[in-house]
Amino acid sequence: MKKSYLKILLLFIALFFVMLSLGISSITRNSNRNYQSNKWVAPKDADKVVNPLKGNASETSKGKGLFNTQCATCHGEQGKGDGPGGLQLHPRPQNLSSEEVQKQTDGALFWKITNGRPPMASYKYTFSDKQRWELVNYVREFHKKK
Amino acid sequence: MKTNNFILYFLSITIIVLCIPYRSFAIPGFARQTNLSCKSCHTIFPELNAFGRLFKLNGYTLTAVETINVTDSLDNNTLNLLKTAQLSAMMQNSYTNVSKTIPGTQNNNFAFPQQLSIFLGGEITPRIGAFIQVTYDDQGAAFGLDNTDIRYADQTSLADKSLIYGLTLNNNPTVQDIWNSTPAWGFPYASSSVVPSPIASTLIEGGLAQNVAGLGIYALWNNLIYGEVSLYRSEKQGGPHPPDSTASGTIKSLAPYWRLALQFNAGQHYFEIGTFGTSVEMFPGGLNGLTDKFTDIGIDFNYEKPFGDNEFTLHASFIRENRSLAATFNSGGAMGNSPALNSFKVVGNYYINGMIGFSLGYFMITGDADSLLYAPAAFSGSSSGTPDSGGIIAEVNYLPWMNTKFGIQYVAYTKFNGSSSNYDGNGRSASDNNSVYVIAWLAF
Repeated sequence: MKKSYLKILLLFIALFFVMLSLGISSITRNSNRNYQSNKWVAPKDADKVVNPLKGNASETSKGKGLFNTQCATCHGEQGKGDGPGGLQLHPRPQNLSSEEVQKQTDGALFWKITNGRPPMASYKYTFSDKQRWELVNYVREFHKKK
Repeated sequence: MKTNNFILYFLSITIIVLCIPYRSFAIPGFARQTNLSCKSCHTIFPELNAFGRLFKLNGYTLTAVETINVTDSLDNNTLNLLKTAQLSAMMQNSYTNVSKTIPGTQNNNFAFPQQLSIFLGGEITPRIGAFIQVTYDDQGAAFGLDNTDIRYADQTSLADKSLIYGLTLNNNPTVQDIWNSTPAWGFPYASSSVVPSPIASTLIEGGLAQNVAGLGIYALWNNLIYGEVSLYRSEKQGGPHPPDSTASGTIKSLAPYWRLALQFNAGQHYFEIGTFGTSVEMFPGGLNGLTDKFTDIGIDFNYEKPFGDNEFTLHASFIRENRSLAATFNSGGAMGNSPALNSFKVVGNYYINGMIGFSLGYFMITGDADSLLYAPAAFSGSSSGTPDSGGIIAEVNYLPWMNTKFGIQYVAYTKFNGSSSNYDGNGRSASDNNSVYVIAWLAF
């Protein structure tokens, strides 16, 4: 290899590692950020929405199927927020059996499933209203399992 | 004439494989459609994480943006169209240095662009989605259809457990796969287009890409067992339509492809082990006469483990290709009619906060000697008549933004086309093909 090309190559590599070190320092600076500081609260109006499937066991069972197929990847099969798809997400997926989740109204949970907030996906156009209520019903099961 | 067909056939397979420096990858259009960041589906693009695999299995249909929604009088949804077309672009620009200049060529080359791709991807209907890539390749100086996967997906339950199932229509066996251990999405995700590549690779490692069309059925049960069966037929981009006596590498009848995988988590450890493969009988030239048969049987393994904000992933595969080259042997293109080929690849990646990635891979190709199939030629041939090659690939990537990747890759050969020194009979050593590859990969 000619020396002039070697110099260009070394310059490239040096530049790359300067960028890399800037990246690492940026990561270090941000490592103490509080991912949970921005609490996710559904609007007050959502609390007033009544669950049309409340207490319907067969719909809850359908919700379980949906949950295991589409939600367990991030929230975990037991809803603990420990699914493999959520391990690198910030904020981490909610523990659905927690008091923080279970004290919310059905309407609030429905609103959150509907609208999402990154990294939680919105399922407004993926699931029908009825399917989202089935999911709400199943989320309530985690409280019983606790 | 038959010998010419054979040469044309093997040359075209070789060129196809050698000229696949590219791997397509996830597209910003999916981020726009889902309102989720790239990191929701990827460790570092194009490597998929668990959610990304689920998104793909569901047919790319998860949608968070407003749609034009129509329902009929029976409350059936008859239209759910995204208000904006999900168009994305990708550009790879690169620089390559080869340890020893290839005779008669320039060293230290820029590729600008190495590859420019336009993607159309996302939901078509609530159950049908697509990943369509059209690519401009600087070597061919032309646009062409690249990796394409159109899916129908739905979900139900089986034995009280969840079942995602669907259909895939695609043009490259393994492009529909959700793991990064199979050829279409395997490491390295980008590599130079101007360095010599080993003389042999198995057919499934790019030899059929964009030259076939296949329809398959797949299912994931209980997030545990994945199975797929597809059937492929020749659909050669740029070739005669329909294939005629001038066509090369035309599949006789149908070529089956299979995939079976088991995945599970043990705490924060993710494991996948599976098998994949295809059996292809094809005419080296034309549509009549003797055929060559390739049976590729692959096994693969994946492992993932997060460490706080960081993550380690490992992908490995082994492919055994059994060949029955009746046509090639009969036309004098091979010494034997059943030279087998093996391909082993493993790569370990460590990703820091999704911004910095370190990868170290090892690859090995071994096979039966055949001095006609692997003929001597300056820098690209084999003086020993064996396809054996091996080496390591080390790569560092920096992603200041999730949709931009700046990387350096070093490829070091321990063996090339059968030998570590004077492999081509013209004094070139395997290490002369070592290369440094610098890439700026932009997606928007």
